Amino acid sequence: MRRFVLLILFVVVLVAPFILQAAMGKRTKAAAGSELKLVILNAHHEGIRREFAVAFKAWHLAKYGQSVDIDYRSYGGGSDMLRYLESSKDTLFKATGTFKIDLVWGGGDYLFDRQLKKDYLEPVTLDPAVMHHAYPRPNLAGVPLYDQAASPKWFGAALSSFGIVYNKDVLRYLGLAEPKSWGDLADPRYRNWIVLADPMRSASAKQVFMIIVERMMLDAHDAGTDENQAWARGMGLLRQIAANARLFTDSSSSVPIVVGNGDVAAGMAIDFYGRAQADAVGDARMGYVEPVGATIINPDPIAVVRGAEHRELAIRFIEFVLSDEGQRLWNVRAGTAGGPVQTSLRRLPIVPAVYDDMSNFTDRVNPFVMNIGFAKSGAREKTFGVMGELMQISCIDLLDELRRTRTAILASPRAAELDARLGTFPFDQNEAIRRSELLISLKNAPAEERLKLLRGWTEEFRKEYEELRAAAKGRG
Amino acid sequence: MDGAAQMLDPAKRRPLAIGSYIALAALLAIFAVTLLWPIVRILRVGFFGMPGEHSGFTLAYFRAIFVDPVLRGGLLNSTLIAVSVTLLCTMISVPLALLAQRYQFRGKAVVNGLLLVPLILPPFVGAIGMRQILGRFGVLTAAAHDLGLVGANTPVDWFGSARIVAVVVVEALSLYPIIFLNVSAALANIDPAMEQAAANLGASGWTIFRRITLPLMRPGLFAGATIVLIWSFTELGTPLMFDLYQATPVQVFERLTQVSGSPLPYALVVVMLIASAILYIVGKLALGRGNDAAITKASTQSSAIKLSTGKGLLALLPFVVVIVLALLPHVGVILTSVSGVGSWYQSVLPRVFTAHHYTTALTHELAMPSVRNSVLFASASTVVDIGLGLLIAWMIVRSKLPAKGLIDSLAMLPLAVPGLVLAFGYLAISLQMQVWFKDFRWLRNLVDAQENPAVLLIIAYALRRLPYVVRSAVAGLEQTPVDLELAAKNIGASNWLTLRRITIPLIAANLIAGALLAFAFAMLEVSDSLILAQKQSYWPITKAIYELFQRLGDGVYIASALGVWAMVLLTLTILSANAFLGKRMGAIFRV
Amino acid sequence: MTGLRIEHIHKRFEKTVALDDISLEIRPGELFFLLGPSGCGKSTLLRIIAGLQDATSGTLYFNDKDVTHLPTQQRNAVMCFQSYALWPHLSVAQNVSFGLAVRGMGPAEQKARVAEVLHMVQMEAYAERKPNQLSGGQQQRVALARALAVQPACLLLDEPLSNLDAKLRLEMRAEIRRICKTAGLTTIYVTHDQKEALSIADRIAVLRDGHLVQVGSPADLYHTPVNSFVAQFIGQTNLLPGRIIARDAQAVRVETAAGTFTSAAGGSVSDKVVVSIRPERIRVGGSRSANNVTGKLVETTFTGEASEHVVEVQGQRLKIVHMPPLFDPPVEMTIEIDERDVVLLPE
Repeated sequence: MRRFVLLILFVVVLVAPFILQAAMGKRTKAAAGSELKLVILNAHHEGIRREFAVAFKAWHLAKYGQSVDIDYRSYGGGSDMLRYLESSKDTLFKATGTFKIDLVWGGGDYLFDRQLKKDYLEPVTLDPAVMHHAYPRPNLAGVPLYDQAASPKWFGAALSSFGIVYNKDVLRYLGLAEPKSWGDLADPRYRNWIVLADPMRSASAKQVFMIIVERMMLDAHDAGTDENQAWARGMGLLRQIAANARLFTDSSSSVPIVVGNGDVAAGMAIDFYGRAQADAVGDARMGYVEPVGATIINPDPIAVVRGAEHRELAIRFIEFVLSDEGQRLWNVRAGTAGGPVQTSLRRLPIVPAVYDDMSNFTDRVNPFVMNIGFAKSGAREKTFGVMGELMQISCIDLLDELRRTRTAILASPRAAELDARLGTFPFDQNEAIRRSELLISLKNAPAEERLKLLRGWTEEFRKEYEELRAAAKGRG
Repeated sequence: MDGAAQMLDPAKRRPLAIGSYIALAALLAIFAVTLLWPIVRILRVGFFGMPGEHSGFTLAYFRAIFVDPVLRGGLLNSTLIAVSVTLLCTMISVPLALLAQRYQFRGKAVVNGLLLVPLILPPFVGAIGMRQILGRFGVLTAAAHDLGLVGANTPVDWFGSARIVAVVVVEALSLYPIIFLNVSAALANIDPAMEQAAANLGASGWTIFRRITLPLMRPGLFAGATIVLIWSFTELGTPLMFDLYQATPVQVFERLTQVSGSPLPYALVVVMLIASAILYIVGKLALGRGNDAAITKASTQSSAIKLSTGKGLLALLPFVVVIVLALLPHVGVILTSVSGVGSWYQSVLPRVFTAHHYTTALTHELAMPSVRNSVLFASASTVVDIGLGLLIAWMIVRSKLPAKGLIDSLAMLPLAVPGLVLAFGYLAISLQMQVWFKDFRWLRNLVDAQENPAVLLIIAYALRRLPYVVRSAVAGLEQTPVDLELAAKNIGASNWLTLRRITIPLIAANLIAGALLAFAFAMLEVSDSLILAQKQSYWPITKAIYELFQRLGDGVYIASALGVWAMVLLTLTILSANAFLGKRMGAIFRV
Repeated sequence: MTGLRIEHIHKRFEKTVALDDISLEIRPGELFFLLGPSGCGKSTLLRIIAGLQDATSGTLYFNDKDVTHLPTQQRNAVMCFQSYALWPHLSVAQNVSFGLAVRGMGPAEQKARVAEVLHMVQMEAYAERKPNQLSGGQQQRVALARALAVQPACLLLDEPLSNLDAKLRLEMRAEIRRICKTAGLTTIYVTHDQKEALSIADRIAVLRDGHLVQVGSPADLYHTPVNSFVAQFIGQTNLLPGRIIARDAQAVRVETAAGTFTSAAGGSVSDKVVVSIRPERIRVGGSRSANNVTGKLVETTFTGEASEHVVEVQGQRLKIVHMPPLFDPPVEMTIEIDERDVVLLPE
């Protein structure tokens, strides 16, 4: 009767966790009948979601005497949230007047300001005292910290910046110094040792690529040279970095993980992802650096969604996030007073007053004092919308060709000249804007048209790489 | 008296037939809503463009696929993967099946059971361990260093850019049991007298294999190979985990989850669907044509040759090698679950061991509810599968309904439809139904994936695994003489009593095995879970593992702890199923 | 006791005709046989009577009640399957009591009735066994007991002895007749074995290719077959095509390839006939002037109680059964046949 023994074992294993859990006396309550419910569409990792839920429930109970249920919806990254809202707009929203979402939180200011604000966000007026405390100044290095309107549609909840994560063991093996600037990642010795996130799927990857290009343009501006040409050199630098890429991951959060494992030497990451993973695997193995003056500080917003069913509670949540108590969760070490219970979140608070006491902070960086970032300018971001497509047609779809091309170039006697050609995009910003507009104009045309267009552009790059390889082999 | 009988005629004429026509209509309706509707939605987008853009019928998207070198490359890679995986699976399975069939040796029963375990431990969970093992600073590198093959702190890129090789090897090592089961079943059906007759006529061992054994087991081989071909052609998890983006399922997934809505991925899905359907039909035809082995019944007892201890160990070796290789990633998961955070790096084994991740998992607000949800959803879908599976199997085997061929094909269709496709179809349908039912609150909530995906998840799980339960029940009914049921009816038992007292007890082993497998596969269903379960309180275990896996810090370790529990549970399910059905397990995994 | 009336039953499977216009009457308490080669439709007819299959057209009466469209459950025409169809997961007693439980009998009565029928088939010692622990003959008895237990209106036996060895078959067929007659059951028995039919049947219906060929008592069929098929199928016979060359009131003269014979058996009216002569009716050695021919012995077989000989007469081979055995047959032999044993059948 072996089969019945196995069947009994099966049942034992099936119920074991429940019995153990009961034995430990820490039965986690299933979302039980609180009257108040808050639905948050969220792009953060699980640690942030959990810590804020716990703290907000306690805060709300203390302040309003009611328990609250928080229901997080996770669809992936920022672009996935947008996709959800877009797909619900003509069906659910049209039919019922609500997206059944109260708040949307995380994903970067570009998403909120450019993509969500128009159709999906609700203007909100916060208590002036709260506003004044949270945002004594409306912007940081030229970047608005909240939606600059009488009734803002979004509020920065934390600050983010971008930097480089690297594995020190791998660098030692490769004989490379720790990277200091974005340009370091284009060093051919990194070949096959870089990880990048796919800008078509990760909004933060798109942002960091834009920053690199923007910094180049700003340099040109400062030097009095042509910004359009600088744009092409910035994109060319990205191309050289991409030629070192072992892979493009589909989510920016896996970049630090892959670096931590030693599968690659370095990658670009959002600050708190990089810090959190360095924290987990130890500073001896992993480092995080922000290229001085070459990154930006931008707010990570929170906003009330149009037609929110629990608007009042949603506003309370925003007020909590902007309170000192909420803000300290971002950077106070887990387990210490006023900090998160389990996980150090290692993010930069957006409320300046919180930086007055940094004693329990995991990262004693005050972005309001130190000048980490540079001032962004909308004028230099005109190609942001098409950044994903540009990277896809020039690098991701042609990754193998790109790698071979750079290898051929570096092996050729004309290496310097040809690598400079690879380091410059075949067209400048004006052309990119023209193409971006062309794509936008096709938005309502049959998708086939768009595809044909993009395919044609990919073929241009393929031809360029072929020519470069031919030149490298002395035939061009 | 006569008159009364005549008057009762219309009602009494075929009480059975009326009932079965009602059941048939219900079944067709179920399939129409849960299977055909999502497929039709996708076909419509593929051939007519996105809703709202209605540009009329066009083949432009298909042209676009075959013109685009990236997408063409994806199709090529996927085809290459499918063919290579199938060949590799065959090369692994056939010799093992022959060994197990011919010889009796110590430990055979144990390895025969363990051999099946990789089947229900999909690469999705194993990928955690796989990264650990194959990483540049992973276990293999450390082992190579310990053996003095590479210097200290020297990373080795085991698969390098040939990730496709890794994908093929990992998939083959998890799918080979399907062919093994089918070939074993076919071999068991071959009358030993046929081989003896050939030997008696002077044929050599090789000739007998080539001329007699191989042709007779071919239907079994084809049946298994078709499933493996379709499965590996549409497999999403493995190439995704190995970052092999130039494969059709990954391209579909990526393009479907990108912001800009384009009909291209839908067209790509249609191409996949057509390719799978062709494979399916070819497999079925090949099966239908040469079903010789199934007809012959052994006239003499097959006598496995008993091996001496030494030779027995030698025969055991290939089994152990395959099992160890196939379970290696899962061993990696087990070790990860007890490894200190960040301590398994540049070493063969973790440097710090801890049970902490298990206690964390037990109190983790993500882990335990997801376990509870998965058990609930999987059980419910299994119950649905048993009910539907029994009904469908009865129609196919016992009834004379005109549409039973259609029902059979529909029930098998989920094998040819990638889970991703159905999941997206369901999401779209859910939104559509909410609009329709906007005035009927409870009905709306029932189909609202955002509010409560339980119903949709259960339907999706049930539908995806229905083919296995149907095959299992069909095999049971086919092996049960119809006279046993007729005898009960003839002696006065109603249809229902006959089903309850005679049919179900007789095919209980098949039903239990089919249910166990359906349960196991539902527990580890990936695509539906990732896409349909968005509300955290309804996350099943796969979604929790996926989310935790992406979480920095200790996420991967908690994910591993969950994974280990699931692995133990699922290992027990497949071992139980094997104990219930033995060689007849092969009948489940066929088209 | 139930009598059956079958009127104009047709059964068509797709394109083939399984039963073509069968009409029969089976008397109450009769042991009635359906006999024919495999594929003749006899099992189909039995299943139609049992209600396991529908007739394409025609009517079936049990005691004048139309049961054509009655489901099998309500007919009480219980069948013993050729495969026995014993439920392998139930014990012998459970198998037998199944039909009783279905009929709502209380547990105590069930037990008594099970004991009674198991005693009847001499299987009371095996009540708790599972079917796969029984021999073929024992299984056959259990199948019979299961059918008898419910006191059926009509017992249907489908080749009940085909899975048994020769000796057991002889025992069981006597046993079946005893049991059926004791229980006073109307029984319809399907077989392809004419010996089985001849030995215990009250009446036999011979079927061929879906047609009813002849109905009658065993003796009727043996002695006065209606055609060469029946003659050949029931017992052994020698068939010779012939032509009537003379007729008178008592006899006819028939010319065949083996010679000219006189027949007093009557039969066919047309001139072209088939002559049927039973092998055991041929005597060796001639004492009469008529119906005797001379041939050459070509083969002899010894069967125990008799000897069989093949004699070639003018190129025609005739089979002879001689009882007791003829140990030293002459090579040239004269044989003779009684005029009453020369049966004329239509061509």
